[in-house]
Formats: sequence, C-alpha cells, structure tokens
Amino acid sequence: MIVLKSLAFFFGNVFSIVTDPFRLALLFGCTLLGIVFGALPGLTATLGVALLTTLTYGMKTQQALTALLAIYVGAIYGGSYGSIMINIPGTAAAAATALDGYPLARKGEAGAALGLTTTASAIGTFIGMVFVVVFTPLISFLALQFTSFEFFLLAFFGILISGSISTPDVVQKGWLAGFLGLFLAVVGRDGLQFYPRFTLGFHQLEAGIEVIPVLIGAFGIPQIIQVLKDRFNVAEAQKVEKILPSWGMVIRNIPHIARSALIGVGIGAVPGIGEDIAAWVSYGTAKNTSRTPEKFGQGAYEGIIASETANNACIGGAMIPLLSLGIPGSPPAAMLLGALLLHGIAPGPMLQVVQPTFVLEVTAILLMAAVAMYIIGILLAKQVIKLLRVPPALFMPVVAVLCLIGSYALGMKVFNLWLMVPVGILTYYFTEMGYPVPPLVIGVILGPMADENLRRALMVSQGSLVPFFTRPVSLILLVIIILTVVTSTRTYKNFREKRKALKAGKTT
Amino acid sequence: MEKNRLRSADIVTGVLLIVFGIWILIEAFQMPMRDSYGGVMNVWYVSPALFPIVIGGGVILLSVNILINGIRSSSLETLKEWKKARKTAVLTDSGYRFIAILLPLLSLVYMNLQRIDFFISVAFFLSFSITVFYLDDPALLRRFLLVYAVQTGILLLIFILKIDDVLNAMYPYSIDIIALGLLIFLILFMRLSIRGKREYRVKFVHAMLMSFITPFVLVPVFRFMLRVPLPREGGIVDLMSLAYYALR
Repeated sequence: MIVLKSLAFFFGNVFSIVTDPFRLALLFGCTLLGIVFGALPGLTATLGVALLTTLTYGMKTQQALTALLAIYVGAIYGGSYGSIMINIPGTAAAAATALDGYPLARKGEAGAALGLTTTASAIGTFIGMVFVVVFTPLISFLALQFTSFEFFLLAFFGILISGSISTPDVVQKGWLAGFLGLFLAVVGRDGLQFYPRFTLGFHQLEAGIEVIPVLIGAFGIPQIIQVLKDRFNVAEAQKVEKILPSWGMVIRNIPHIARSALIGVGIGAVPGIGEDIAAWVSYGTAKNTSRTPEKFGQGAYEGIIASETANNACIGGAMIPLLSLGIPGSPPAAMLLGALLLHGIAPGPMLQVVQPTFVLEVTAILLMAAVAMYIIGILLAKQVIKLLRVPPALFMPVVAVLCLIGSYALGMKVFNLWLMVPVGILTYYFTEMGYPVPPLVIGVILGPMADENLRRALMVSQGSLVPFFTRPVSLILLVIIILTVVTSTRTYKNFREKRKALKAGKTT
Repeated sequence: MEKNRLRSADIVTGVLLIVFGIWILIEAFQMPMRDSYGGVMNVWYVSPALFPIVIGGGVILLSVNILINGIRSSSLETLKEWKKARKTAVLTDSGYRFIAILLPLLSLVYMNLQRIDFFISVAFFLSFSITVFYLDDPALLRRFLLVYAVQTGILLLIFILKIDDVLNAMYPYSIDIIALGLLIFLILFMRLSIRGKREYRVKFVHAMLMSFITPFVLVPVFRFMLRVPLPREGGIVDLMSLAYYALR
C-alpha cells in the first residue's frame, strides 16, 4: 500500500512538472544552461549550482529545486562535449571521457559518440534516481536510531574519507584541508553557550561564516584565477554529423552500463567524493574487465559508456547521504545543501519525518531532468558545440562578477565578499600546493554537526568516552575511522610493500 | 607543482600551519573551560573550547607530519631553488597575469563596490579584465596594468583622504563622474594602444560589449526583479531606476 501511495505521489509530481509551464520551462532552460556550463572549459557543475542558488532564492522551494537539480544533471553531462569535440574536458567529471571520445571524434564518429554519451548519461541519472528512492528512506530510518555519538563520528568520518580519496598528494593534506574547513565552521558564537569564538572583534563574524559565500569562494575564485592565469586556448572542434542514440550499441552494453551505474552510485554515496572519481574508477574497471583492453584510449565505445554512465549515476548517489544524513556526497551536492538550507529545508534523518514526500519530489525532478537532458542532448548538441569556440578569457571575468553579486545578494552583506575573496585566494594557493578543496568544504558544512554532537554526547555521558566504544554503530564507525587513518600511514604502506616483496620472493 | 618543489613548499606551509594551529589552541584555551559563563558553570566537555582544541590539535599534528615529510623528501638545495623561483615568479608573464587578476578583483571588492556606482564599478572591472586576457598580449597587459594600477591608486587616495565625502556633499554623483572619467580614459587608452591591429580591434569590440552588457543585464535582474539593493546605487543605477519606473 505504501509503495502504491509512493508511486502515485511520484507520478503526481512528474505530472505537476509537465503541466506547469513555468516549471517545465525552468527545467529545460536550466538543463540547457547546465549543459552549456558543463561544456565550456573552466566552468563547472558546482559553479553552476552556486551561481543559480542566488537567482532561485526568491522562488518557491519546488521551483528552486527543479532549477538546481536540472543545472546539476545538465552540467555533469555537458562536460562530455569538450572532451569529445576538442579533447578538453568541460568538467573534471568528463576527463575520462576524453580518452576515447576524442579519438572517436577524430575518426569522424563524433555524432555517434555524443549520441551514446547522451543515452548513457540519461540512463545513469535514471539508475541513480532509483537508488535515491530505495536507499534514502532506509538510511534515514537507520539514522533515526543514531544519537549524538554516532553523528559526531559520522561527520568526522565524512571529512576523513573525503580527505583520503580526493587528495592529489599525501593523505595528510586532505585531512588538514578538512580540519581547516572545521575551523571556518566554528567561527562565530557557539550553538550551546553563545560564546564568541575566533571573531577577532568583527561583529559581522558573530553569526558565523555563511556557507554559500565560502563555497562560492572556494570553488569559484580558484577556478577563475587558474583559467585566466594559465592561459586556456580554444582548440578547433572536430566535425560532427548527425547525433543519434545508437540503441543497438546501448543494448549490447547493458552489463557495462549496469556496472558503471553501480560504481557511480556507490562512489557518489561516499561523502565529498565527486563525479570525477566515479568516472575514473568506472573507466578503469571497464578497461580491466574488457576482453579488448588494448582498444581503450583508441576510441572504445565502452570507455565513454563507462565514464558517462558513472558520472551521471553519481548524482543520485550523492543525493543519498545528502537527503538521509545531511552529508553531501559531492561538491555540487554541497552547494545544493547550502541552497536547501536557504529555503528552510534541513536535509538529514528528520527530513523523512518532517517532509516524508520530499525525497519523491527530488526523484521526480531527477527523472524529468534526465528526460530534458536527453531531449536537449539529441536536438541541440550541435548548437551547444558552437559555444566551445568562445574563449574562456571572454566569460571568466563575467563569472567573477556573478560570483560576487551571488555571494552578496544572499545576505546583502558586503562583508560576505570580504570573506569570499580571501577564502578563494587561499584555496587557490592550497590547490597549487596539493591540498584538495572538497574536504575543506565538507568540513565547513559538517563542522557545526560535529561540534554540537560531540559536546551533546559528552554531556549525556557526563564526560565519559565509554559510550563511543559500547554503542554498536559508534564502535563500527570508530573502527572504520581508525582503519582509514592506519591504512593511510606510511608505516602501513611500507609494511604492505615489504609483505608483497616477501610474497613475490617466496613464489620465485 | 613538480614533486620536488611541492615537498619544499610543504616545509613552508607546514611551518605556517603549525603556527596557525598554535594560535587556534591559544585562543581556545582563553575560552571558558571550568569557570562560569553567562550564568552557566562550565565543565570541560560542554566548553566552547572543546572542539577548537580538537581542531587546533589536529592541525598541528597533521602540519608536523607534512613538515617532516617535506624535510625528509627535499634537500636544502631544492628549498633554496624553490625560494629563488618564488622570488622571480612575480616578474614572469604568469606573475603579471596573476597581478592582473587580483588587482582589479581586490579593488572591486574592497574599494569600488561600496563607494562607486555598481554599474560603473563592474564595467571598470570587466573592461580591464576581459580586454587584457582576451587580447592575450604580454606587452599590452603590462601597459594596461600600469594604467589600471595608477587609476586604482588615484581612487584609493581619494577614498583615504575622504575627498569623496567632500565632493559627494557638493554633488551626489561626483565620485561616479570621476570613476566614469577614469573608465573612459582607460578604454580610450586601450583602444589607442591597439591602433592598426585589425585582429585586436575585433577582440576589443567583443570585450567592450561583454563589459557593458553584463552590468546592463545584472542591474535590472538583481535590482528590479530580485529586489536586491545593490552595494552602491549611484548615477547610472539611479538613472536606470528612473527609466524602469517611468516605463512601468
């Protein structure tokens, strides 16, 4: 009965989108905008969601959600245009697509490649959506049994795992970035005693640092500096014939698609790990399991199917921890969390209790966004490709202005800009030094959750740390955290290498 | 960044972050730990200092780790090389480009946005930024940057000496007129500098179109549609408001 009710509500939502001309226009318009954002090198899905957050602030929640999810889905898919046509990925999520997409375009098969990425992305988004429907209520139900002990450890685990996986250099840098994010989160009056912390005498800091300007600063400003400083030349796009979804190819590759979607959802569900990692892992798996791995990198259709299905399925995956635990699964999901909070929606386990239909609304929008993306991808891809000729130098300064006005408009505070710019410049330097951005952002978002739950937990236990070890879920999380830390240490890695060498010595 | 240089940079960032971690701890230990605050008697586990101590400790621990890793993996020679490279980095093409990004951005955020009409501030920022990066000519970039820096200096002097208050008291849009004058001068200077170069001329026209269309779209969207009061509504925004309400 509940399933039927849910299905009825889901299709009711789909119907309400289709019959509301404004929402439908918003859906198609924002998906197209997302594709453009994704296609243009230098602009990212996160930046797209960030900039649109301001414009959707005055809208109704459903409308805002439609716009934000549409741009998210569109941008992740749009990244493949640059990869296939000019060998420059529009977004990091589409970097793996370039390996086989561009060789295909050079062979004169750009249309087929684009058709296939469009179909694979739509299927990936759809499968991700199914997982959101099934797993979000389950995880929310489990999370409702959690107490402050578990929530503190969960937040801590989110930061650690995000730091471990997203770091381009030594793992300590990822964790350190997370701790710096936590520091930014504790600035302002604390939630329990209202004591001002690290405000440096600025009364503007007493309410704490606003999340959205920090996110825009951390993701937008370094991107702008990097693109303008490092000179981003426009490459000549390959010719494209008809864009057709070759369904025969799709059917032949159903096992690839299913596996890639599962990888995408799984990686998306890990806090702070984005679509780029999902695409690379999926590509690597496809290559390793292929009967013809030598074809990868020369223009293998399996390659683009793997990366494009996974990066779009990752959207659904990223929505699962976001909606069930309030922990964003990817950087664009972190922006989405900020936008939801602005609209008075607090994602987390209580969301299922307070707004039980919210998850179904999100999934209905995801489904419609996948449909819009597919239609636009097939019909308008040729027009979007023309935009690849626009040099980033022409639009990046405009993006800078949009970042500024976007940050300012949310609270109408110039102080937000004064914070945003140094955060952006520092993040740029940190990125140059090999520190990842996602853990920093996750730290900013999860900081209040970690702080309040740690103190609340200790208050309940009268300062005793024993419940951390006696509560089953808490113990499991603690063990995972310790394992994450231990397996990342140099000593452990040296130990493993020595064991490998010993084993190899024995066999020879 | 290349691995060797990265390790040398780690030594510097490691030290800086250790200092930062120590500062977090010093600040945290000044927060109420056991005494009463706001009528509430504190215990260590409820104290607002608890989490900052965890953070400060974590930052120090990880920074020490990064520092040790940096020292182990890089020699003194690479550190010297890195320091030398940092010193000369400003004088390279990339260094000039970096300044050309930061100077307009910082002057826009910390100076112009609150004091000069939003439309003019944004057009000023975009005219310079788009033109120098779109033309992509190192010699021109340096020339334009010098002019822009001088103009920023003039505005800074006006604001520091509070001349803008005096001028605005005489005529409300005085500072906007001065900024507009500087903007026109900058545009004319850039246009004259590319005289005789047809390819640059086309790019310059594109840059100018983008520079003026952007605020022309942004002002109505934010001011009239989203009803967001702009940081400074001066001559041009007021003029647009007049036109908007007259047409409405």
